[in-house]
Parts: sequence; C-alpha cells; structure tokens
Amino acid sequence: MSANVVTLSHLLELRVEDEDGNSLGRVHDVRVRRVGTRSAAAQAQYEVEGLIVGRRGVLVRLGWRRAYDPAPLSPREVLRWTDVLAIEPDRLIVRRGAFDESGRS
Amino acid sequence: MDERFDLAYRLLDEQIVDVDGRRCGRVDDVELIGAAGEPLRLSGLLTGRGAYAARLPRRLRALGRKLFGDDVRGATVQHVPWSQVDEMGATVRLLGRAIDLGLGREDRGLQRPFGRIPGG
Amino acid sequence: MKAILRVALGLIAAIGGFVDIGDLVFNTQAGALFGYELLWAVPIGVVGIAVYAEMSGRVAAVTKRPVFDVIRMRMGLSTGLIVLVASLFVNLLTVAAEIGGVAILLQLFFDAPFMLFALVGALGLIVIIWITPFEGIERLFGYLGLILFVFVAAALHEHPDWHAVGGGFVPNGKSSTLYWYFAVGLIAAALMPYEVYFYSSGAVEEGWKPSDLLVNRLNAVIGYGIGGLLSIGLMMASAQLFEPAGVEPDHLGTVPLLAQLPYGETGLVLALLGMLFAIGGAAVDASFAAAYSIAQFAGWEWGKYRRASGAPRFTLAWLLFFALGLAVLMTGIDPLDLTEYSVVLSVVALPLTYVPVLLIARDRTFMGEYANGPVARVLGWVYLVVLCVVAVAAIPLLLATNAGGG
Repeated sequence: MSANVVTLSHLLELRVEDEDGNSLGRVHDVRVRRVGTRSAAAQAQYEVEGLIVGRRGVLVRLGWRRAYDPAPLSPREVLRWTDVLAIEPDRLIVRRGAFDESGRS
Repeated sequence: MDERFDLAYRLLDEQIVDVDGRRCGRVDDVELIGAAGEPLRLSGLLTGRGAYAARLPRRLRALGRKLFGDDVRGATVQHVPWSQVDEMGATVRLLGRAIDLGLGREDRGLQRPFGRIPGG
Repeated sequence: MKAILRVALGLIAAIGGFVDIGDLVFNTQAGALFGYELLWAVPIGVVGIAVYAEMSGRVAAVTKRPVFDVIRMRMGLSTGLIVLVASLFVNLLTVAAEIGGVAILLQLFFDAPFMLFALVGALGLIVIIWITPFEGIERLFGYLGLILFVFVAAALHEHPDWHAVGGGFVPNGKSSTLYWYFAVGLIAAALMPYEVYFYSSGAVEEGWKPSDLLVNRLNAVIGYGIGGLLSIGLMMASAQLFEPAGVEPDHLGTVPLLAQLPYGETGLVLALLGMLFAIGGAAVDASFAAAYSIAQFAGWEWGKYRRASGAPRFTLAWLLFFALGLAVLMTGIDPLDLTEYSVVLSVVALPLTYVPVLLIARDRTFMGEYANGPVARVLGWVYLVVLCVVAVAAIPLLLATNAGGG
C-alpha cells in the first residue's frame, strides 16, 4: 500500500466525472469523520467520509466557499468517499450512478 | 473535538495559534494520506507561503511560484501533524510551542534586531 | 466612573480622528464650488462609515476576527489575495497623500523643500508611534484633531442662512457631472476603508469582548456622528467665505483662511495645528491599516501591543509603508491629486471588503445573539446598494470631470 499524499488544494474545485465521462460538478468541500477509539491520550484521527460536490456557480467561483448553508447537509449532497474510483491530476472519477443529476446518491 | 466537520469550511485558511497564544501562520493547505478505494486520513496542516501557489487557479500557478516561492518543506512550507492540533474554534490552537514545531521562524529571526532598538 | 471616563475619552478621540486630508479637500472644494448644495452627501457618508465600523467592531469583539481575518476566512486565499492587493494599493495612495499633506502644512510654518518636510513628518510620526502605546496614539491625535472645531466655530460665526443650509440637505435637481463627482467624493472621503481596518484591529488590540459592544456602538454612532459635524462645518465655512469670492481652494494652505478671516492669527494657527494632527493621525492609521491587512491575511503575529520585537514582520510592514509613501511623493505627483485618486479609488474597492463583513455580522453561527439586529440589518443592506452605486459611478465621474478639474 503506497503512502499517497493528497492535498486539500488538489481536491477543491476538482472536476468530478462518472465512469462514463458525465460531468457531475466540482468539489466544494471535504467532509471528515472521527475514527478510532476515543482515547484521552491520543489525538482524534479523522478520515474522509465524503465530498461535497456542486455546480460551479458564480458565487463559488468568486471564492464564496461558505455561501452554502453550513448545517449538516443531507446525504444527497455528499458524495461518499467509497464511491470515488480514481483521483487524477485534473479530475475525480466516481462510480456510475453514485451521484446523479437529481442529487440522489 | 467534533464527530465530523468540513475541511474547507472549518479548517482551511484559519489562523494557527500555538499553546502560548502566539500567532504562527494560517492553515494554507491540508494534507491527507491515502488513495481512491482506500481510507483517506487527515494527516496534518501545511502552512507557509510555499503552499500559496497550489491554491491559485491552475493557469496562475507558475506565476504564484515565482511570487511566493516553491513548496520546500522545512523552508517555505511547514507540516504540522494533526496530532499537534488541540482545538478548532475561531483559531486552530496547537498543543505545542511554535518554536518546537518549526513555525514562526521568520518572526523569531527578526526578534533580536528589533529587541536591540530601544522601545522595541 | 472610571469606565465612563474611558468611554468618553475614546469617544472624543474618535470625533477628532474623523477628518483626514480627503475630507478636508473634498468638503472645502464642494463648499467653494456649490455652496450648501452638497451638504446632503455628508450624512450619507457618515452614516455609512458608522454602519461599517459598528459591524466590523462588533465582529471583532465577538469573534476576535478583524476585517482581513474575515476576508481570508470567507473568500479563501486566491480571491482574498486580489482584495488584499487592491486594498494595499489604495492604502498606499492614502498614506502618500496624508504624508504629503503634513509636508504642505509644515511648509506654511517654515521654509524648506517639500520632500524634506515629507521625510521629517514621516520620521516624526514613526517616532511617536514607536514610543507611544496604542491607546496613547489614538488619544493624542484624536484630542488634538478636535482643534478642527475652529472651522465649525467659523461657520457659525458668519450667521449662516439656516434656511439655505437646510435646503442643502436635500439633493439638488441640478445634475452637472462635476456636482455628482463631488457627491461621490464626499461620500467616499467619509467612508475610507483604512479607518475600518484600523478600527476593527484596534478592537482586538484593546481586547474588546461582547461587554464592550455598547462602547462600539457609541464610538460608531456618536463618535463618527459628531465627527461628521466637522465636515459639515468645513463645507459651510467654505460656502460662506470662498464661494461668494469665487475662490477655489486648490492648495491645502487656502483652507486655514476659513479660520483666519473670522479669528485672525489665532484662528490661522489653530486651523493649521488641527489639520496637522488630523492628517498626521490619518497617516498613522493608514499605514497601520496596511500592516494589519498583510499580517492578518498571512497569519503573522501582529499588533502594537505585542511590541516591535514581538511582531517584527508587522512592524516592518508599517515602516515599509511609510517608506513607500515617501517614494510615491518623490515621483512629484501633487498631493492634492493624490488625495483625489486615493479617495475615489478607495470607494471602488470598498464593496469587496464590506460584503464579507456584512455576511459575517449577520451570521448567527459566528455571532450568536450578537448578529445584526433590525437596524443593522436594514442599514447593512441599504448601504451595500449605496456603496455599489457609488463604486460603479466613481471612475467614470473621475474621468469625465478630469478629477474635479472640470
């Protein structure tokens, strides 16, 4: 298993496509979830649970990253990390049907 | 700390503060370790002007590197392990001191010359 | 009792610190050219700065985030960088204009080359900043800036036609391009963004907490409100004394005449001193505002309270800005032209820094119970529209009137 380093800057604004090449939007944020034991001694570990993907709107393009509601988003808007097939330099490839146009996942 | 949070919303671009309350940079990028099909773990923060170029739009990155420098770990960019993060609020507070984590070196370097001037 | 005294002292400093070279130039020229007919623009500017300052002060007191922390957080690095660069550019023009103003005034006292006085003035300000704690600097320039009330006295001295004065508070149907250029300039001069960067950073420097929100509101409303009277006084005095005579105050040295005519030598000296401290204080505020912006954006340690050795890059930044201001003056550009450009361009950049502050001030996730109440909500949005209109109109008007040259 290779210790691949991925930066947030690489993921943000990355174009998301499904296996068939359909464009699904861009990555707006990365959601992490705490994993492991809640030991007082060790700092909490976090793993990526999903990606918040959306259309590339004008506001988002201007950098208004927090233009969207910060409250917990419904599962429809979060692309599960397990559905991501590959991270490429210029796009993210996800499983067919994992995140479709109607926002269901 | 929270059960779950969003990296760009809560962590990216926030002020980093050490255990003594000294400001020592901002979260200019976040490092994750893993790959597609495997767990992707939050490994740490990246801070420093060497991380600026990667944040710019693709076409401007070369210009960004000329203006702000390349990504040279230990020099223009510092990696702060996630285990050093105490809490995330209005600032990202660390468990250790900036000096031990290699942060705020530029300010420390200028401390003595300024200290010599009366009133400094 | 001690708390009330502290509040009163801060308030007084805010009043005296309201006026800078932009206000002096635009208010006297507007009065000379249009009499009382542009008085309405002053309250619009004053209420605008009060709204912006109150919101940014409240955000700083509650979240400990001054303006450029909000900008970096809200807009991210790449977009935020654009706002930072634009802000620093107009800030630089402002610092240069203020230092230039100090030099012009010093030339009225003594005879020596302009650049020498610019250097002496800048060095003098640097020394004052170096040896005085933050609050002391504000008090010093603020109190001495109150001397400018000699212009208000001069305006009242001439027994103004209050009916005509009242009429000036209603915008005129007359629409010469020059008239509207000055309207934009007056609003812009009152709403200089460096004042707000400085004010919000000062809130953090002084350790404001939610319990200080009343002080914040008083400073913004009463402090700036009464400060606005200084602008009105300037315009009225100029309307009474310059307009009938057809005098166009295109040199800063003409302005003190407004106090000399009614009060003789005493009036002249008071006017010069008041202007010197108001403009000098503004030079300090503007270069600090630039240093605050850079340091907060980049995450460096910052603040006068940290001492120079505790925040060396921040200290270098404001020192560098004084130096760059001098460099701009060395190009030989007329400080009054510089003033007009700095005022007009500042208002163009203003919406960029205003919007993030407005969005945070109204956001309960950050502000909790201290988020915008009904008054701030309405005024906040109204002024967003006002600022956008003024920002869009500014450059066309600047070009069309050849920077007020007509």
